[in-house]
Amino acid sequence: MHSKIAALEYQLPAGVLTNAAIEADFPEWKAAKVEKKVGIRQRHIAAPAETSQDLAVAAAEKLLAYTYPESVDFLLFCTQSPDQLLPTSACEIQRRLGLRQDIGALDFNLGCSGYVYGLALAKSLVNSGFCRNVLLLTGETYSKFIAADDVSNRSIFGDAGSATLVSEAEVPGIGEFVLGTNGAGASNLSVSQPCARNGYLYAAGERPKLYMNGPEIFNFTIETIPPLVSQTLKKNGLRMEELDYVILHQANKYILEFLISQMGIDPARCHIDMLNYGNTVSNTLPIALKDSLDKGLVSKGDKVLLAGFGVGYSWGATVVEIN
Amino acid sequence: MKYWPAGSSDARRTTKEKIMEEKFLELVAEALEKEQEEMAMADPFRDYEEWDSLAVLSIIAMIKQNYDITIPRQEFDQLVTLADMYGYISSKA
Repeated sequence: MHSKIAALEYQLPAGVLTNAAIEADFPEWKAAKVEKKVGIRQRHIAAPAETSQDLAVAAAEKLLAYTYPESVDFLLFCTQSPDQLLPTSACEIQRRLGLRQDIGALDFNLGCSGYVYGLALAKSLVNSGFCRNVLLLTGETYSKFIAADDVSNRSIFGDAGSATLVSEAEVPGIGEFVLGTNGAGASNLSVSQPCARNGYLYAAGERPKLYMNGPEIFNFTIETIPPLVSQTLKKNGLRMEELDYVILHQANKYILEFLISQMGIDPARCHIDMLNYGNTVSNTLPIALKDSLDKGLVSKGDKVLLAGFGVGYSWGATVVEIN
Repeated sequence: MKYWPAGSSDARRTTKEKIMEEKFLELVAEALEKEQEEMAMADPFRDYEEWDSLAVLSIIAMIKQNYDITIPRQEFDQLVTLADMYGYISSKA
């Protein structure tokens, strides 16, 4: 049995944080410079009562409007900002979407590598013959972890949700995967408090806070991604020039341009577009893939390399073909 | 005549070092989008007006791209002047 990406949708919250608004609060953060260097003009930010689950459900509703909700036999939800510690959000999502009760549903906690891992899990469930249609959702609201004065992270991260239907197929639409993990980088990108390690204790008014060691994440990326891409090509029996399009996790324009030049990829075939979204963590790959299809940058039959990398450290890549 | 061999190799080494230092300054200037004439090796680079969180990445990227050296954050944080940075690169090259 083979599997393919059968449908794809995403959802952005209505709220927007523009570079101009950031500059109004932090005059040294020039809007034009942020756009030029980081490649971001605005990010969508979830409302206070709007969660990762809401965004994923909205994306899934779009997708289920033209597919068959009753055919979904497994639900995977990737998030690091769940509505609550328990139950797993996927159980609530099953109810909200009106999915069947005789299905499996679970959350998994991964960041920027999450979409690739989700595709790997979905493909395994389908190709093993256990499932026919896996609904893979991502939803992330890092904005809720970022302090108001943390302008550096506020200028990068945006919120979003996505829905992908992975279905059985006659010919392979999802290729071979290369996945990787290195927990030695755990402290360089984290939201560590309040949680079990500190007894869930925190001062009044204190909230979970995102910490990112930008230079170390940059070092991790430039050391890890070029070999990840070459290993993935090798595993799929492809040469770089046989790829029609390359979509790397849309972290920021600066790092992508650096990686593209390091790897010698033709920039015309490499996706760089987070202008209106920012870095939406596990959502960047499905957003970029959907946009590329809608804009005709990717056509049916094209071979597209997807690579995700970040918090963990965790990374993964594959080659997909949309039919 | 007797000073010629030793003198020539010293002079050449100095010239080569100067050229490499100039090249280094040029690369730093490009990374920071700063005028090279406004920069000297003794400068504490974090005092530059152009220095911000993105400048850190620009410098790390410049060093990786041109010298194929990855500087761990902790070691980078200990560099104060451009001369320190150049010394780090020279020690790893």
